[in-house]
Order: sequence, then structure tokens, then C-alpha cells
Amino acid sequence: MSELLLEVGGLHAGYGPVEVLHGIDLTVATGEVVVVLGANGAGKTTMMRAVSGTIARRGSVRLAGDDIGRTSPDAIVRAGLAQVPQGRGTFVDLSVDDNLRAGAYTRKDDYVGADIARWFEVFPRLAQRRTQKAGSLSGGEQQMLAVARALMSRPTLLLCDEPSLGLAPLIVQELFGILGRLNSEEGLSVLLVEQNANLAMDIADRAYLLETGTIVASGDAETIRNDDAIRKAYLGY
Amino acid sequence: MERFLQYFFDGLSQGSIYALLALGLVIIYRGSGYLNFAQGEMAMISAFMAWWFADMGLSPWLAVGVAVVVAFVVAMGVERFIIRPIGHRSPFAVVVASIGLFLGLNALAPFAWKVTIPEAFESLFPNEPTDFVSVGGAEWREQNIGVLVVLAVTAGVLYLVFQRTRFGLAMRAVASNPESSPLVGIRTGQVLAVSWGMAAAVGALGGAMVASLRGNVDASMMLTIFFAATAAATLGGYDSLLGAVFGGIVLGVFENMVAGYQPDVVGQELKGVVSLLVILVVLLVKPSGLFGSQRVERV
Repeated sequence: MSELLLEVGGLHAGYGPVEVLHGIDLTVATGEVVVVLGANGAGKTTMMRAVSGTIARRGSVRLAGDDIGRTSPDAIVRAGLAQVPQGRGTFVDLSVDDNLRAGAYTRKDDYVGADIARWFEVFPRLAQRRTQKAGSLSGGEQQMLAVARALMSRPTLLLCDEPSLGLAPLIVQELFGILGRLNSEEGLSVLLVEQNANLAMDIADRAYLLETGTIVASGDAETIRNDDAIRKAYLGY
Repeated sequence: MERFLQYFFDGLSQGSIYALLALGLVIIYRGSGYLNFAQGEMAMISAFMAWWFADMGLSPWLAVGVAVVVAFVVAMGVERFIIRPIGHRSPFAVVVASIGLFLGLNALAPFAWKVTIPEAFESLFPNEPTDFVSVGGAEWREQNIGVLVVLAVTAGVLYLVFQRTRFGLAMRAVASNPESSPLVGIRTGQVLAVSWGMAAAVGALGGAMVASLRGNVDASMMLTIFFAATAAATLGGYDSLLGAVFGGIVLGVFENMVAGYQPDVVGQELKGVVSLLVILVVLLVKPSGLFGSQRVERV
């Protein structure tokens, strides 16, 4: 197994007095796609937020060996972790172009323009709408934009929180295809949270199962798929 | 025609001042969603500082420049150490705090500088009786032209900062979606502090223009102007810089026309009521203002 990129140990998090995560252990190795499955309310989004530092958390979070358990979310982005938040979170009043430029906010190199051109090749529908406000895009286009915006920071680890939510099946397929290609061709590491898990499992190396704030099962994608109980409950066949 | 032009020119410079104050209101509102009630009094204090520096021997424009810089720095501190901690507890408390700031600053000026009567403020522009350009028989005073130029330059610089710089992009991003901004690495706190600084700096320029036009500084100099500026921002749309400039100019010209042509009905005394009417009409007819964004969002 290659070196660990993300190491989460004993992670607790919640909102005010309500604790949602009760001590989670999870790892992502460099070059891996890891999927976290779980029902509504299991704590998937809370886990993503706790890792990216957007909510208060307890426990250890390490990125490439560095402790980021107390780091502010903007510094975590600079450390190489980018998050596609649930519900996309695009800058709706800004043009598609400006959204991508904002994604590169942490960078000071001269290749921002080249990267924008590159993601326009990967997501051609964004290229057609580059001067339009993000708020005028369809849900699928906004999701593509949110992914492209996260990639603009040139992350070593990409967190995707339910990218399939509210999207047509064909678009979900396209999106996972792109994520899979980025992983296999460029070695992008991905931590993916999904309720709609079939397509996610196609590109996953490993998977975790989250139930009411606790990891109840984990293993390589094949094993998880062949577990009858998990298959019935989360993969629907 | 001559009369019309005269009211128009006078209205332009009055409107420029409204616009400068409204720009400050809009910059803060865009960043944090707060209406800063202290905007006018911050400008008044800055004008006092400019007068004070000039009194110590600085040239008038240099004194204004120093006051603008001081306003920028102090307002950043106000955001960081007063507004932000209070805002964490309750957004409504921020409104109360800015009203408190308004009253406090208003009382501070005469106290800090030990003045009870208006102090003379040297004009920043040529202001001899003969310093005017004659247009169609009306006198467009160079002082009035100067104020308009200051507004144009300020608005132009702000436009470039917002549209062409990396930090401007961050400011627009925070205005659009404060939750997502940290996810691309933007320090929202830093953006908000600088927003307050910029708003205070623009306001300080506005305060200096008011002092220059009046020829003095006084603790009550910004009171009616502040309310006119809120009307201008309402008219233009609270989140639009262009709207603030447009709203300020339109309101200034409109006010002067009404007061000029109806001296018996409105006149100088009731001029301020015009802004109140504008606020009411805009809120009833088009609450987002002329240039404000009505959020269109597909999901």
C-alpha cells in the first residue's frame, strides 16, 4: 500500500451541543478513490466538514503527515485539500470564469489561465457558459463548476460531498466518469461521500460504511459490494 | 434653462457626496450584510482629522490623504475587534453596535478637539468668487466640478479593484457566498476587515468634500447627508457599487431641483424629506433597487 495521504483518527464533530460523529477512523492513500456510504443523517456531510475544517471538531486529522486538526479551512485549502461542498456552493453572482479564478485564489503561479482552458476541455458545457453567472447554470452544470473550481487549487486530495444529489442519471455518470479518469490518469486522490452508491463504487478502491456517526464496516470495494447486507441496504440490488 | 443648469450643477456635487457615502455603505453591506449606521459619523471624524492635520501645518490635500489612511486602518480595527466578535453572537447586535458607534463618534468629535463651534476648513479646490466655468449662463463652480471628479476617480479605482484584482475577486466571492469562500482558500475575516477599511476611506473622502463645500467642520455635518446616502443606496440597490453612484447623483440632482423649483413648498428646510420619500417609494415598488441583484438561481 502506498503512503497515506489522509489519516483521520478518533474524529468527533457536531453542531452546538449535538454530537454527530462519535470518533471516526479513516484513511485515504495517495492515488486512491475512497467512498463513504451512508444513509441520510448518518453524518456524511458532517464528516466532510470536519475534515475540511469548516466546523468545530475533535480528534486527529493529518494530511500528508501534517496535522491539520486545528487548521483553519482556508489554510487547509493551501495545504492541498479541496472540497466540493454539498449543494455545490458556487459563487452564484460571479461568472463561470470568475468562479474558476476564485478556485485558484491560493495560487500565485502563471498557469491559472492554462488550467481554466484545460477544465473547459474536460467540461465543455462550462466553456459555452464562461461569461454567464453561475446562478443561471443548470444543477448539473453547477456541479461540474463546483468540481472544476475545486480542481483549480491543484489539490492533492479532492473531497466530494454527494455530487450526484439532484442530478439526472446521465450527468451523474458523466461526472463519475471524469472523476475516475482524473484518478487513473493523473493519480488524483478522492474521498467521496455518496448515498447513491452504485456509480461511486465503480470507481472506488475502498469503501467505508457510516451509520449514525460511527464507521460500522470497511474494506476494499469488491468486498463491500459482495456483502449481502450492505448490498441490499445501500446498493439496492 | 439657466436656472435648470444651475440646479443641475449644484445637485451634481451634492449627489457626488451622497454617492461617496453610499459607496461606503454598499461596500460593507456586500461583504457582511450589515447596514453601518456609523458610516456618516466615521466620515465626520475623518473630516475633523483632516482639519486637525491641516491645522498642524500639513497642506490641505496631504491632510486629507493622511486622514483617509488613518480611517482605513482604524476601521479595519473596528471590524476586527468590535463588529466581528459581536456578529458571532447576533447579527442584530451589530446593528445596535453601529448605532452606538454613531452616537459615540458624534459625541467624541467636540470632546476630542475641544470645539463647540464649527471650525473653518480651507477649501480643497479653487474657490474664489470668479472660479467657475460658465455653461449656458449658469455658473459651474470649480469646487463643484472638483467634487464630481473626486467621485469619478474613486468610483473608477473601486471598479478596478473589484473587477481586476485578486483581492477584488475575493471580495466579490465573499459577497456572493461567504460559506464557500474559505473552501477556495479565501480568508473571509481579512476580506471583511479590508471592506470596512475601504468603506471608511471612501467615507473619509466624502467627509473631506463636505467640509470643503461648507468651509468648516462640525459634529452635525454628516447627519442629513448620511440619511440621504442610505436613500441613495436604497435607490441604487444595496449590493451595487454602480447603483450607489447612480442613486447618489440622481438623488442629489432631484433634491436640488425640487427645492429650487418649489422653494415655498419644499425649499431648503424640507429637502431632506425627499430622501425619506425615495426610500419609501423604492421599498414599495422595487425593494432590490435599480441595480441591486434579485438573486436568480436555478437548482
